Amino acid sequence: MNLVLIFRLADEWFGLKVDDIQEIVEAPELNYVPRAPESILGAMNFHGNVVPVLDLACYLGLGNQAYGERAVVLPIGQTVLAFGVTAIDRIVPFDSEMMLPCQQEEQKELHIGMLYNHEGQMVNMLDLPSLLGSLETI
Amino acid sequence: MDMSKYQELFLSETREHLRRMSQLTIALEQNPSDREGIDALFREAHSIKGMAASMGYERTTALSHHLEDFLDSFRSSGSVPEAAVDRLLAGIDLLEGLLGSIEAGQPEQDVDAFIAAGTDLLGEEPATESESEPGAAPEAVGSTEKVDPAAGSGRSFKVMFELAENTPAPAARALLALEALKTLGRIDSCRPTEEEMKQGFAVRQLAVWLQSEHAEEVIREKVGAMPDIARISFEADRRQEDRPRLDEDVRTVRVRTALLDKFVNLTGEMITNRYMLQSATRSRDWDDVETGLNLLSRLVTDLHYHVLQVRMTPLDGITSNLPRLVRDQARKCGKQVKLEITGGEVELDRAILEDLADPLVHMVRNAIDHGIEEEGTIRVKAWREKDLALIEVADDGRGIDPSSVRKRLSEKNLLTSAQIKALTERELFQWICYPGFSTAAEVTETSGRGVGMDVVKAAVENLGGMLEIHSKRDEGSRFLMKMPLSIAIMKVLLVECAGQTLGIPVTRVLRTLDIRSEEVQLSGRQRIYPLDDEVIPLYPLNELLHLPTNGAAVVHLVITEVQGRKVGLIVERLTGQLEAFVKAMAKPLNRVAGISGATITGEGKIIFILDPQLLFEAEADQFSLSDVEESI
Amino acid sequence: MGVRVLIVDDALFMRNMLKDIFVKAGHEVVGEAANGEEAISRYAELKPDLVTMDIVMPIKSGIEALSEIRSADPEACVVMCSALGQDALVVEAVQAGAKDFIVKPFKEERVLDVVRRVLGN
Repeated sequence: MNLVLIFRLADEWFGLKVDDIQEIVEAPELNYVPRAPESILGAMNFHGNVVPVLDLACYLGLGNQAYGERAVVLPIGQTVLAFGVTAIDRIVPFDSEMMLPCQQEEQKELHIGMLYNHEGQMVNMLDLPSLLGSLETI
Repeated sequence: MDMSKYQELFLSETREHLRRMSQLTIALEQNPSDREGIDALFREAHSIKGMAASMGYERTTALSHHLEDFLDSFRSSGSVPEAAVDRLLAGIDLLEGLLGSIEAGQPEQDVDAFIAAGTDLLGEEPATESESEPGAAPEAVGSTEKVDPAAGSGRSFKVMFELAENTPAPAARALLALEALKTLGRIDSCRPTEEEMKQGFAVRQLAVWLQSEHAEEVIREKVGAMPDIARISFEADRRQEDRPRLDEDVRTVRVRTALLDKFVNLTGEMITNRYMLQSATRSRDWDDVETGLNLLSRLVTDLHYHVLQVRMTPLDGITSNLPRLVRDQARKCGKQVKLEITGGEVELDRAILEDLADPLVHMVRNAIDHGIEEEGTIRVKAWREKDLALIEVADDGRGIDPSSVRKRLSEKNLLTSAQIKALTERELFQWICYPGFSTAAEVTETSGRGVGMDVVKAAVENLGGMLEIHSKRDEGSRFLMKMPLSIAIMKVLLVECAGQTLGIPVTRVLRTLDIRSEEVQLSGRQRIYPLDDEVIPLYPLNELLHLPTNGAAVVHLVITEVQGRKVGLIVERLTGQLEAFVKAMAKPLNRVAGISGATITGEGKIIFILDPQLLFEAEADQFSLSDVEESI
Repeated sequence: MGVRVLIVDDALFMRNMLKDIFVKAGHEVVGEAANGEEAISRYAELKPDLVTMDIVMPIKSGIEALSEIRSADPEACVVMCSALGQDALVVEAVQAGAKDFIVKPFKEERVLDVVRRVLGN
């Protein structure tokens, strides 16, 4: 069954299909990255790989967040990327009927592909290809 | 039977055969009646044919069969005519191209045109196309192949598409453009790859390497007319230079069985060692534990050494195509160039070798184009010195004219005249590696405006090496690359700044020293220090890294070289050295300028490794080296 | 000469809009379908020159319908209609053999341009 992970960035709710997630890491140790842009919180040692941890809220321009306790690790081809989230809400079953196209241009800038209506709460579903593509120019 | 698992082996072995074929052919050009050479060449072609046929690659089989027949005719005549050399080399190139397609999972190129042209090119009996003509091996001509008007011997070029901003579904658009191109010719490869596009990669640009007989206008009209394609441009195919590399993960190495046996033995010893340690721990015999640990440490060192051996590859791998290159290039320039290669057996880590291949080609080309005047010799020499492999490209040509470099510097306003005057020759020559700098008066087709010395230098330094340039007027130039033997394991100097630990490759460190803070002098706002007979500028690493600074009584200096000039980095502590297993940076960290890699310590901590040169370049607006010169 | 078009979309509004565009340009809309299943049977019966196919539809999606139509008639000329943000689906459709795609909201000249091009090639 398809599942959706719902998490909070600043004041907004975001979602990702669980299939797109490699792992959620509790309280990862962040290592210093010299000269890193502001939106990189640090690097974590993920099973012997050097994985950058992105401050997604900051990267999306939602303001600097208080860094939460968890990082969501995404696989990108051969490499991985993680991002810190403000809070993780829960994992819910995915219901394709509840997907709505997003209308506004600004949502595209936030790399939001679709909206997901979870019991009346609107969740921004991240458009991963678009987000990851944009990281090329970080 | 599933043959796909043999594909990689087929490719690597066939490429070796092709390399030898090219060497043998060039040798035959010098000595056309070398019977043994002809026989050897024949056998190489024959081996390729056999392998290709087993793999079911029809066109590769047909072409190698054709070359084999072609060569067989020289076995009876006893010598290889001059025209045949060009044809053989062209055939070898075509085979290379076929291998490229096979590797990329694409259909093999059309070879019928080449095979059919055998008759005309030899020029002996042009009219008849008879069976007696060795060039036309009847059964080899692919009679079963449907003639595809778009495929085959058309020109080969690179087409670049730029998608309009805000293109909806850019990946789908790029896929459609690719589909449209497929109707016009043969796609050799593209970037991003088709697979990446299918995964919805956010495409902004699409580069396609295409073989097509159609004119650019036709392509422009058919594909460029698509909506959302903002720009379409064409370039000559320079794939040697910029074809995307295969993923690291699909590469394999061949290992000598003796080395594998060594691993088996080592594993056995380690198992014994484990029992010994277990039993010593149980009986709390601390002397035995210590002995066991000492043994373990020796075994690990041994293992480490042998694992590295697996990655070591002789330099031959990248020098063997130089004879061909020199021949073609010298001919194009109308010069007489001899090539001498020594030290081909020197081994380096394969990752280093792969990244040195292009720089090496570049330096050799530059030597032919700009170094040698009418006639001369290029010497490529490699040797070992302690932990370093040294590779030198030397020519006996006109040498670099210091005055023209100085002139160029002032013309381009790169330095003030006082600064230029102060440069030593060694520093001066480093400037030819400055992006966009060139002293070559003429522009040639292949090496352009001496392009690429900046690329060469960057490649060498990215691998943790250093590039030295020596040149004497009318005696020639020497480009010396000092490379670490292995990149996977690199010795790094650990330094500390504002509580953070950083690594600097030892190969980039000239020396370290501690001085008292009052020994640091000021020239304007620039910190300087007289070291030996030179005054060197000092920079706090904290500032380069945007970390907070605090003064200390003792100043720790790491002396390194940036753009041919000695520079001192002030660090807060020198914390030792580390044999680091270096990991390459993944996206998006590879975008952070100044770091060349990272390593993970035994405690699981990540330490980033700095590249001083890149660091200064990234901070150029803050820490300009030219300003320093002025203030000293 | 006009082109014979089959319009597939679950929204009547969309169908009418496309129809107006085609008819005005002198093409003939030979049929309409409101879901993928209907599209398949109408295609078989009408053999149109061109199909415009919405992606997200009930009963059978546009991509499924596209695949079935293409496997029955490899020459079938199908243009997908997508909304913004459906990039992955469009890529899937292109792989399944869609000749091109247009993105809602439709612009008349864009629609006609695509028709010209896919049938011209």
